[in-house]
Amino acid sequence: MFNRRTFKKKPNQPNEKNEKLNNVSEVRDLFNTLSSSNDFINHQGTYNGIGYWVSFYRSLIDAQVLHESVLSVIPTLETINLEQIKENVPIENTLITSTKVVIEDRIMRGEIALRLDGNLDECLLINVAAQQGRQVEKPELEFGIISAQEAFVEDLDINLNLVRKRLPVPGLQVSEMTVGSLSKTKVAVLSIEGIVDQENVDNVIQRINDVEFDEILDGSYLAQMLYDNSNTLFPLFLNTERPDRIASALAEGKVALLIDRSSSALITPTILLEYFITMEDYNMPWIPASAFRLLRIFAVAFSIFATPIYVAVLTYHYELIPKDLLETIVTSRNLIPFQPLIEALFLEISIELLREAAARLPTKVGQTLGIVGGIVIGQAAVVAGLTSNILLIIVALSALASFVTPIYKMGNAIRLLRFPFLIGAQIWGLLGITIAAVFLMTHLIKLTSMGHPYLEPIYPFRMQDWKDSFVRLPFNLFKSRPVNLRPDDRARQPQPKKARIKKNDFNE
Amino acid sequence: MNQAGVNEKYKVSPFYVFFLVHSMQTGVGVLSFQRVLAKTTGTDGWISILLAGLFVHIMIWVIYKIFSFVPGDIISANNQAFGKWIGNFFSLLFVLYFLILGMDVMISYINIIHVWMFEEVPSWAFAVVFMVLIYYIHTGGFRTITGIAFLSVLFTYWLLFVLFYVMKYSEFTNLLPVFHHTLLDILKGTRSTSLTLLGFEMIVMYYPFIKNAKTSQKYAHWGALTTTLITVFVYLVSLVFYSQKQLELTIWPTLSMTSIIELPFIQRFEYINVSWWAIIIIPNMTIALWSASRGFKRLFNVQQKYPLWGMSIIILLTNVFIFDIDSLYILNKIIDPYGVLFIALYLPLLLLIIYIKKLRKRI
Amino acid sequence: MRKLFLVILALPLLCSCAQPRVVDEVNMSQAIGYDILKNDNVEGMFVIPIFQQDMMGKYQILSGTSTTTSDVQAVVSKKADKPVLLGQTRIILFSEKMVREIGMTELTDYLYREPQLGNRVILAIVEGKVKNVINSKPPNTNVNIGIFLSGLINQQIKTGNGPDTNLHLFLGNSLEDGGDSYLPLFKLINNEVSVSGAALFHENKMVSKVPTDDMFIFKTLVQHHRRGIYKFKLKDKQESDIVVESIRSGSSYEVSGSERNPSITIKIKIKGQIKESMRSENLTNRKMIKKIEKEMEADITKQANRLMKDFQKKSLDPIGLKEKYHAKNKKLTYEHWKKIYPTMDINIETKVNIIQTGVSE
Repeated sequence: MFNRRTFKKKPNQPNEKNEKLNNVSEVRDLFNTLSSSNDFINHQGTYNGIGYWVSFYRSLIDAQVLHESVLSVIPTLETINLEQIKENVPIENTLITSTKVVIEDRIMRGEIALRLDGNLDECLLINVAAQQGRQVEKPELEFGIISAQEAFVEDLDINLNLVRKRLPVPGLQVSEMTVGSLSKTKVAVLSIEGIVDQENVDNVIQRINDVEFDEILDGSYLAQMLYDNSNTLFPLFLNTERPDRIASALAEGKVALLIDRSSSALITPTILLEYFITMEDYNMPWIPASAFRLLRIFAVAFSIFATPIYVAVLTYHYELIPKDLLETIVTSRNLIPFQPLIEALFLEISIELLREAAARLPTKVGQTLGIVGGIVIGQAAVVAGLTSNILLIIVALSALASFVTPIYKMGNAIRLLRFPFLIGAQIWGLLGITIAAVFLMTHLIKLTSMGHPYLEPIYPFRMQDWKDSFVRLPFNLFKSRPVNLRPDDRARQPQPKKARIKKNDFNE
Repeated sequence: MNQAGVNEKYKVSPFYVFFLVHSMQTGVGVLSFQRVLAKTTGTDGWISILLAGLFVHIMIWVIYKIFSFVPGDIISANNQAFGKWIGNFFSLLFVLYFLILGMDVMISYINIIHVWMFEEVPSWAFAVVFMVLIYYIHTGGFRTITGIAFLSVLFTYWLLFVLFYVMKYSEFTNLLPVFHHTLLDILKGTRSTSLTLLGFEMIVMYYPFIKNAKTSQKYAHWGALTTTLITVFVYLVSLVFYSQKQLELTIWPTLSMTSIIELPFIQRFEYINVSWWAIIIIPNMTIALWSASRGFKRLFNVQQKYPLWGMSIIILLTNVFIFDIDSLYILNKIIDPYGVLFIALYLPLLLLIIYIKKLRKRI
Repeated sequence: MRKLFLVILALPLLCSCAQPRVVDEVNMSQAIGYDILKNDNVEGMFVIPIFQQDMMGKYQILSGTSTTTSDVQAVVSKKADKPVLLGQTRIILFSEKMVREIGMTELTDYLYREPQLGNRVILAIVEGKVKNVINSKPPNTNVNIGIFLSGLINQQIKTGNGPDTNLHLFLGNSLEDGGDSYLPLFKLINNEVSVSGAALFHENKMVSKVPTDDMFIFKTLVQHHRRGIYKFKLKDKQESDIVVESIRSGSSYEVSGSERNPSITIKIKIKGQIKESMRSENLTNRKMIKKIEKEMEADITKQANRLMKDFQKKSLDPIGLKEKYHAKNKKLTYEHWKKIYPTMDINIETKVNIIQTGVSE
């Protein structure tokens, strides 16, 4: 809060009126300032007796393009003036201007400024920015076995290309804007006109414009600033690296955000259940797809509740244990000096440690660590009598279950959710768990993503949206887009013709 | 300008009235109503419940009739009928009634927890946690309260099916003989069950929060009908499960009944039931206290959180200084004859007065 | 400021944690036995399993003496390193002497009041001293005596001739006027515990018992059941034994007659299969089976009549005829019932259906 206010006061937003009055000297000033950086080149040349200056950041431009498309064009001209060069350079989107802000901005993005000796305040700006970055690769976080193997990269234009190839319709609208006073990150807001509720798009753009932060390095930065409620564990914008996911979200009437220099795109508004959907659910017949989706949701419930229930039952409700299990459970706990909570926390934290460490280490070392952690530490803890082996199984299973969620951030949220439940279980047993669950329920009801309820279609209850929530029903039932998004165009497929009467009757 | 006017954004669909009415009606009452009813009416108790259900339906009709003349909530209706001062006095009675109802529900549940699970934990500790939770729900506005009521019904419905398991131990001859009690006995039974079916009257506070409120009447009736049928079902199951004398001995027959259940992985089901019941109880307390604090807000034009804090402190102090059985005794004494009578007599009277005023104006 | 307030509010909550009852820090009793001593004191025994690695079925017995059954728990806890809790109790044993002297209402009041004890707890009566039964070693060393005894009863309920029983069912019957009810009986024979019929209660006290041989008929009268074994002798020259296993049996009741002279007809229906027939004759012969059915019907009617006459003589009503009669006659009072029951006309009709004869001829 406090930080943001000081940012507002800083005069980093230049006043345009003053700018125009002084721009004559300011352009030259600009170049002088820029030249103080060593990678800024001011190349002077003469042609037909007229001197010209080519200025650019060496580190931002593609030298080959500069030579082939700009410098080699100049000798072919008869007379040299900016208009002439502009027309002959085979590069689009060139501009002649003498506004300082524009010049500065464009040079910083890898364009060159060409000036003639006659008027050093007027520049021709040509884009020769270097296109460096990795190739489109396989998705790593949301890997799919039978779905497309393309993932976003860091470059905005490539990402846009990946999306547009999947939605070759003129309705796909992109509005670009810049956020971050230092990072000047380009953000593209994507939506399909005619489907999306324009209010959603306006809302997103409005909120992006309201962001005042110096550095936006990744989509997640932006997402957190756009959240309706920042005091939550749950991700309200869906991070994805899959272009097909973005395309399907757009087709449903959602808004997508692509951020330059970030390989994850954002989808908004989202609902809770969306985070348990993989793109593969749509590639499979609906029955296995629904079964796997239910499995995932069960895994989430298991992951949150298994350890707390263990703690609650062993601490307070020994009556619940069936007689055949009693021996096994009590025997395994017999030598353990701690309360079940301490025992559970010990294991939970060690699993979190393993996960955190494995995420930091290179892949090969990470694998070794997993084996070492899982087998050696766990086994040793049981043998040493620090934990019971039943709890070890439960904790390991619930950790495994939390990794089932396709969206990594949701997995994190679920893993953290376990701890308040553990404390509830320790204080009042099953009652504590129930009360914690009601707290969670309230929190979820209150959450909104871009003003749309997060718990939809459960609450508010919307029958039409259940087709793609806990289960994925067959495609012929996907008649309408989610009601939640209030799309302009509801119908996903034309109404079936009347002639289609079901005619099986055991094949006559 | 009608103060009860609520922004369209904060309203809920008429469909949720079903859940609001139903979840407010089912609470601690369902756990323990059988004992008193069995004493007075025995096997004919279900007639009493049906009669009480009929009474509830009539009251719902009365409430909707009142609001068809005076759209708004009970406070605007009171003001219209009796003028500002007397109207406000009656509204204050309503606020007090809601507060007592909320307190009664909370303390009853705390008592259950004390008996069944944690006799050593002080009541105020539970009260603090419940109040924090209720406050948290309240900050989400009425939409969140509706959500909690809705989800609570959704998450607890399966408990009904548990009763089918219990029927394994049923003796159906216990249902016979039928019609061997006098009408007076049955009416007495009706009075004692009306406590179980109480809670529908919160409509008088949240009526302005419903979209197209007039269309919600059928949902209110459905909600009340569902509660009545569930209550009848629970009563019949308790009748076949317990023998007469045993039922009269058991304080919480519904809970004790579930202790017969044994699942392969759960030995004693009633502990799950007691804990799970929190999900049913919390909307009860929340709606009652919301109604009370909302009434207070409308009467004295303060922010809603101040009456809520005040009530939390009252509830906390009650829990600190009075043992729960003692305070329950007092609260039940207030609610049973006076609260029920107040609702049963006052609302029709209000309707009558408003109707007469309306007629006069027309003439 | 507000957050600080919340933190301060949360602190006392941490102190309000419930008292933990961690599984390995309590003594869970799995069976309780009560004996009455000469000076009318009650001796209670708690079977408490000891859980240790590689030591299945190890247990200890803690016992204590006090004037009431509930106080015994406190007395016993004084002798143990961990508190004795009742939540896992499966079976509660009373000695025959005790239940003949002290009313069941007094004995079960504490059991029903205690929320730790579920409705499923089995009550059983021991002929002789409970102490001897509890101290006997179960044949299966993997379980303790408490689990063994409750397993024995449950097994008898499911597959043998024992009628359904638990605390709830017992109380349902015994709290009614008359207090007629029944409980399983144990007896120690040659250091082996076995079920020895049912104990019958009247007006809260044990007054009689049903011997093991009559248990099949008793079970059929009391409830519908799917298993149970009946043995009888065929009345012909060979006098061979026939053993029939019930597949689905039960009885229905018909109340008829005037108010002054009521009569009840008990219709017993048995569907069963022949388990063993010590005869060489061909059982696939329908005639032979019909004959067996007829004989069995006659036998069961005879035995049941004898049993009912016995109950009537002692004015016992473990079957709950009173409720059945009350369902038809609204105005029945207990006094009136007491008057009419001993002389009431009780007819028994039996219908046996043998639907299977096993895999061999």
